[in-house]
Amino acid sequence: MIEKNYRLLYVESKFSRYHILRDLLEEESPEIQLIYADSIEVAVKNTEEQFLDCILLHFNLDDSKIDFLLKLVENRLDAPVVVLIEKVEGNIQRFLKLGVSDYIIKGDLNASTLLKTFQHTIERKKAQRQINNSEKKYQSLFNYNPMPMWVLDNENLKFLSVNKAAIKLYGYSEEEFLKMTVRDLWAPDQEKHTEKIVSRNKERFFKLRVRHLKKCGMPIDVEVKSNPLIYENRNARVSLINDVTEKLKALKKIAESEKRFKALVQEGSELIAVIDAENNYTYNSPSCETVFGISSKELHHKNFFDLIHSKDRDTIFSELWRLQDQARIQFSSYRILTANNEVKWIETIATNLKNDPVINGIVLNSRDITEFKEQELQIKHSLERFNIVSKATSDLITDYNIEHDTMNFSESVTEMFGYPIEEVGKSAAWWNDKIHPEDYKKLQPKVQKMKEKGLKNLTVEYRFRCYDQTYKYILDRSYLITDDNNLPVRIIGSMQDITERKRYIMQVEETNKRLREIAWTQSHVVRAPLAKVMGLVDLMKNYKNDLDNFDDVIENVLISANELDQVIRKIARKTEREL
Amino acid sequence: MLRTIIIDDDEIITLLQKNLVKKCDLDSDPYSFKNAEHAIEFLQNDSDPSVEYLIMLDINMPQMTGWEFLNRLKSVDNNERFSVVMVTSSIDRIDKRKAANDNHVVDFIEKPVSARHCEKLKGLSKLSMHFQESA
Repeated sequence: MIEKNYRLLYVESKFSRYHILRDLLEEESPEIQLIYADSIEVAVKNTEEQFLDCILLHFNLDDSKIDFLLKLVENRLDAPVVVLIEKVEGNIQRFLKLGVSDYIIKGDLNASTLLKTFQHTIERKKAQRQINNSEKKYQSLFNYNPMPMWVLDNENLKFLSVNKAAIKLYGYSEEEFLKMTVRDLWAPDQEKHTEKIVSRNKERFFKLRVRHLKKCGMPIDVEVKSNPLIYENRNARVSLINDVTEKLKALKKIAESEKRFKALVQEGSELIAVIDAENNYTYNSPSCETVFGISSKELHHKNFFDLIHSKDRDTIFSELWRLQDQARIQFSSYRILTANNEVKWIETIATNLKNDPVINGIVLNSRDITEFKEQELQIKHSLERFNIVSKATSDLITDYNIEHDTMNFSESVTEMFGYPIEEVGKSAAWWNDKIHPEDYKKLQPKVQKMKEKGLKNLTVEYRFRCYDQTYKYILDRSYLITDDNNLPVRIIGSMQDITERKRYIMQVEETNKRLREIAWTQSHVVRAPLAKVMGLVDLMKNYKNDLDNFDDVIENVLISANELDQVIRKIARKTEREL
Repeated sequence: MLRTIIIDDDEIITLLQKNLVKKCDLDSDPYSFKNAEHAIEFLQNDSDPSVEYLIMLDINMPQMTGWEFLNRLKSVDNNERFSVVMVTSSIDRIDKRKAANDNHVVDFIEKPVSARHCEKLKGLSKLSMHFQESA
């Protein structure tokens, strides 16, 4: 029956009883080796020294020996201890509690009972050991699990056990945990919803997401999976905690980034489209509707070139070819025809993402630049007009920015004053320096009035120094441009070369001066001798019979007549010379 | 009593005017000066304070012009007894206006001075009393 050699220790104060028992066993199972110890003290020593399968103890239930018994049991956890007793009494329970495996009543003692008991005890102990081992395994699976875990009392949710990962995550020590309930971990607003799930699933598995507070007060979001179990004879639940705080944060970030992207692509004014190898649209951002007047759905699979104005189609087509060897190109601005046959100007950057498996095409980032283009055209036209006008008038047009002290001027500056265009200064100081100092003195207060007091128009004449250091007479008409607040911003001027006119006027003035001189000469110089002749003749006529000095008078008439002749000759000569 | 002074740098003019003044009975022996400066000196130092003087004054003269003479006349004592007739070879409106503003100037004559001019002078209010007596 017993297949292997058992080693049994018999603890008995009387050696004779050992003999009896040995004889009994030898009859039945000679392979059992019975070892003898005459006291429990010796037994303890024995158990420390050698391997035993079972210990049979004849024990007289003396309390003084209890410590040794305990020692014995402890030493030989693997070897069951069986006690031999006189009769069944209350103390038996006490022995069993202390770790004794079984008992045999002395009266019942015979070989078969003994063997049966041994066998059972040994097998039971073996099974017990297995269970213990398995429990230990589970225990360490719990304790050393990298996921936080705990066991709760299913009634009051008190912590019954927590693992190391939980201690690490929450910051509470094991002692602290064991004084708390799981409710102490719930963040303030979590109770209602969590309590409901817990109470509804008391006898079942449940899974929930809850916000906990760590010992330091930091909130964490966790997913809890919880199963009911019996733990130390209590209704309990074991819960596995998964900290998803970072995961939630990351998810939130992804959601925000997607939202931003959506806002940029779908609601921005920028037009984003993808075309495939055949130049058909495979994607259009919703803003295409405002530009083309066609929804992105309708635009899908339409050809990119079909929407381009026929006059620009060839240019864009050849430009698109450049994407063969360039990753990114900017098209020249081109026109498209909208659903209402309206022409719009578009500016596009094309990026080749044919090798990107997600895109697999060319990405077109476009902008509606119609308004800008129209303004540009207007400016161009006005500039052309301006240039034509300035050419036609031969005036020099200047544009002075007061704030930045910068002067812009038409190209006629070289023609008018002879300065090479690159030598012409851009500051007011350069221009002022060229004005004749005498004229500048008179001009300066007027310009000041324009810049500071908002005098709108100014027409002045001054001399302007040319490249060859000569002066030209300039008629300058300036107009002040103000901003929305009526503050002076720019002065637009037109400089007209009036040197020729001025010279002519001066010539006329000079001539006039000479003519006046001649006239004066005539009236004064000529009249003086003439008046004398007239006076003398008058005298002779009225008093011819009554003059003492008649001959003198006649003589004087002649003198005066000669004088008159001289004067007239002189005038004739002078006039001839000077006019 | 009224005496006549002729001031002109041209001797022919003084000769002519002297003759006329005599013939018209303005003055039987008028004073004449080629240089206005000398006339001023005479009026200042040698004139008779009880006598009034009619001065026939040329404007364009080399040393002292008629206008300068008029200015100087203002500083001569008892100058209210002097009446000036401006005599010029040409009528210049500016000259005429200038003369009209001077208290001493009683008339403005364009050369040549004639008998008619002399007769007209006798009728001027400031001078007429001298000739009513003799008339």
